[in-house]
Amino acid sequence: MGKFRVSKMKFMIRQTARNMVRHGKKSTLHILIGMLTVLILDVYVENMDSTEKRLAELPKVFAVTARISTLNGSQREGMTIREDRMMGVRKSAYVKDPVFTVRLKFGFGAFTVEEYKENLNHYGMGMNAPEGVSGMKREEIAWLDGVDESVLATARKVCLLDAALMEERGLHPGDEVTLTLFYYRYAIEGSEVFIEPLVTDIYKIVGSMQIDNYEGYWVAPEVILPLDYVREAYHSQGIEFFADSGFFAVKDPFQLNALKAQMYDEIGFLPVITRARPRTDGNALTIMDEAFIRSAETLSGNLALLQGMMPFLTVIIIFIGYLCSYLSLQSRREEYTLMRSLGTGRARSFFLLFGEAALVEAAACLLGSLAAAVFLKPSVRALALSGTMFFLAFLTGAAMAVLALQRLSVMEMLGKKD
Amino acid sequence: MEKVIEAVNVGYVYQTKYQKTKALSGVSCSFERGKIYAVTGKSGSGKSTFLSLLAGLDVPTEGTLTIEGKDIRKMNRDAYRRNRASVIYQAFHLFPLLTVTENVMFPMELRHVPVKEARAKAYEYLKKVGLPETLYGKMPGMISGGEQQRTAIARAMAAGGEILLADEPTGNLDSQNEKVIVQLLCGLAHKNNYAVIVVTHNEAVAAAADVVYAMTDGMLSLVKR
Repeated sequence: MGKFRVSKMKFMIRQTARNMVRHGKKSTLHILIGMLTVLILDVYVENMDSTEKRLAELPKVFAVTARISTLNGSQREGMTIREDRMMGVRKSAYVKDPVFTVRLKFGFGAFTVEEYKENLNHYGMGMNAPEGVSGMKREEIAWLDGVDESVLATARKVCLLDAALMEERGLHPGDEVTLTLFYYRYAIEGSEVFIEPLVTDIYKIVGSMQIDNYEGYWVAPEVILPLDYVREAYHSQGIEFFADSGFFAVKDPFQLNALKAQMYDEIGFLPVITRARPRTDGNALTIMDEAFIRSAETLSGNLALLQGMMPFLTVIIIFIGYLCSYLSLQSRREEYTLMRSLGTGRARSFFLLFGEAALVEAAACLLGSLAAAVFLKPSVRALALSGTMFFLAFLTGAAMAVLALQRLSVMEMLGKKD
Repeated sequence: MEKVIEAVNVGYVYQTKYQKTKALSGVSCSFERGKIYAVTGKSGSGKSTFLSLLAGLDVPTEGTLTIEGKDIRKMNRDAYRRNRASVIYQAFHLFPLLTVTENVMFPMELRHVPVKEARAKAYEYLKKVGLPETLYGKMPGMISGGEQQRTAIARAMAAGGEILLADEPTGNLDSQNEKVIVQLLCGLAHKNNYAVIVVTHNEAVAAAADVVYAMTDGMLSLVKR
């Protein structure tokens, strides 16, 4: 039985290979059409892949950021951002690199409220990242060995001091310095600002800074303290904490809706209402997502169009495969009827003709993919996908063409010829 | 002598979507080994249809047709054509892209005869039908009609069965080639014990037959025994 099967297979292979070679012109034409189809498919799949890739990489090109402002959008610093809102943003899973600041005033040494006139003459800020100082570059900070900007995200008693101020005071990185801090309290409505004592403490100087181009709306800070240290200082004095400014990046811009739901529905931010009365409440959030959404919509539209074309393309390829096989089989009706009249069964004659088509298509697939790899340089995925798509679609078409041929009446065909 | 084929009241109707055509009606006859039979008749009388039924290309719509006692409806008709019966046609029906030798080898390859053995046998049959060796490697299109028909007879012999059905085998041949083919067919019947059934218009072929039937409007009658 095994031997019989082997000889059956050998016969089939010999016949299909022989026919493929002897119908050389048709096979070559079939292969060329197949190659062209593979190339077109490669362009299509590669296009789809690159659109998918561009869409996935869009957040890197168009970073989506958000900024807290007053309700009418006129103020982005010097606001009162509630602590629960700040913490909501900082703990959000949709937020990347949140930056919050709080304005301070300070003087060197310990002094009482009554002595503020002589001593309280410097400006400072609390922040959790150096980006809190608008216009300050990273290279403008010289950190003490073993310390970096991550110290600002802690609650340690450390500070960064203005380089000129340090020189004037004869201070060096690593020194300890006593500072008395005052905080700002803004009237909710109107323009009144109150400066009130916060804390006197000793701080280790962990670096110096030299801000050349301050771009903020206030005064460049001469001291920077970790935000959470300042926040704890507020708490220890029984003072309600408010941040002064805040902004962040969106971790995954494809989850903008979830982020918006959290920010607006859970945390309680409002969208900017330009006609709102001026207040110092930092309760509005503007998400700069327009460019991202516009690009994402364009790319998603393109991708949907390309993906939507897939079923039609498959049908077209099946049709081309059918047409190629059908046309090449038309001139071989006599051969088929003769095979059948000599006792070749339906199944065997199907596999003989189908096997031949499969061999031709495998060659077309291989050569087409090779040509695509040389001229189009698509990804391996695109090559594999287009090759598989072509092969399966063409095989389906070929099977349909052979089955159509098998509907012929052998008796009538042989009679006609005579 | 042993009856190889027996037809009892065989009828056949061609049926298309829009019409039915009765091609054969009440055909009863039998065929034995060692004899050459001729079925004569005008074009459209149903001779070729009858031959196609004998070849198992279709089954009768009426009556019974038995091959060595087995009803053709219950047989594997592909296997029957592969192993028992072979047909030659007026238009030769050789594979155009196979050489003369490969054409003769084809039925043996279908039966899984090893290639070497099939080739040797093909040479033997081609020699028997008197085809010069120089033509063995030629394509059918490159040889004459008589040579093509001889190749077809060699292929029929290679099929190995002992039933040879011929549909106007001399229809496309000149008188000289006609004689050769008739001699070959007679030889197969009388020397090799084949049952040879020839459908023909040709009187010379009919004259050479042992038994002659005439087909008129789908009905068969015995003319010469």
